[in-house]
Amino acid sequence: MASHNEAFTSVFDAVYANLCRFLECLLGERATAQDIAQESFLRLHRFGLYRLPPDEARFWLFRVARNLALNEMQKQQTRSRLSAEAAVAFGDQTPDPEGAFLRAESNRLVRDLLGHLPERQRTALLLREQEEMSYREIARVLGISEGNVKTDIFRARRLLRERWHELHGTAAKLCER
Amino acid sequence: MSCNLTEKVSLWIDGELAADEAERLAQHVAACPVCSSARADFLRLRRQVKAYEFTPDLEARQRALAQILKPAPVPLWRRRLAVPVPVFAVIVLMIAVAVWAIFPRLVAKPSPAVLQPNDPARASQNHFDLSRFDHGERAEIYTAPRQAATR
Repeated sequence: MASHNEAFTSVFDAVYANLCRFLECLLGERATAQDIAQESFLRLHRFGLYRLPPDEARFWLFRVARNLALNEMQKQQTRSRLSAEAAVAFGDQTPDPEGAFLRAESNRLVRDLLGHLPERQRTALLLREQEEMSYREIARVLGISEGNVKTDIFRARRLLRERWHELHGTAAKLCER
Repeated sequence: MSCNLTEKVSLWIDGELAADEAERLAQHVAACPVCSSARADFLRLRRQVKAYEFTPDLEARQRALAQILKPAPVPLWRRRLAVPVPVFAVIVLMIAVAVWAIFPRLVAKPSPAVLQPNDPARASQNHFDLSRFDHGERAEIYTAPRQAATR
């Protein structure tokens, strides 16, 4: 039992922060992301880490977390992001408020860009860019074919690129006025 | 302006192209401004998404781990009681005594009541009581002693 808990803790240490980041980008909200990450690990603990093949736990966790996030999105489709953004802007009592503000702004921009993507494209792109999973691994997590992963990631990049140019074009026009 | 190889650029930056195909595409991208611009944009977006900063709240993290590793509560019907041997022996003895005291009473049959023919209190039971049947006005009952009827 003790060795089982040790193995579990090492997986928790390796994956928890990344899973929270993935969920925060997916949902746009930190508190819910942490709750879902905790729930995913709880399910892994109950399921039994020893029942999974080696190195499978990470994919298992991302798959379960994504399903939980989908449920959450269905429940709260009209959720406002204001509270999360306020928490990010005012909650961090760091000694470098300017740096914290810039980081929060950068994060907000990424969330805003990602928020315009369909959920599956967003998930596929996050798993590729942040988790550096291969197309085959992403296909396993999402339960779709590799061909679909290729298409989803390309479409996500194309949409993000268009959105990014829109944002910067708008900013340039505003500066010209 | 567009190029139909832009999707390949997406695969290329992900390392999903075979070596020879990747080499051909690299030559194309060097000469194609559309694909070159797409590649630059894709890589910039990658940096931006990858740079998303998440600093986990250490306290929340520890709390979450403790919550997960906390042993699940055992249902009442699966709990085990630790009873010292002398206490257990006393309980067993008490149960045995109780069974010994109660069991014979449960098994014993009640003795049948013996009718005393000359008992005046029970004498009326040997005959029908006509007052119980419509005041005896319309009843035609032939009475006989019960002992004779049972024969």
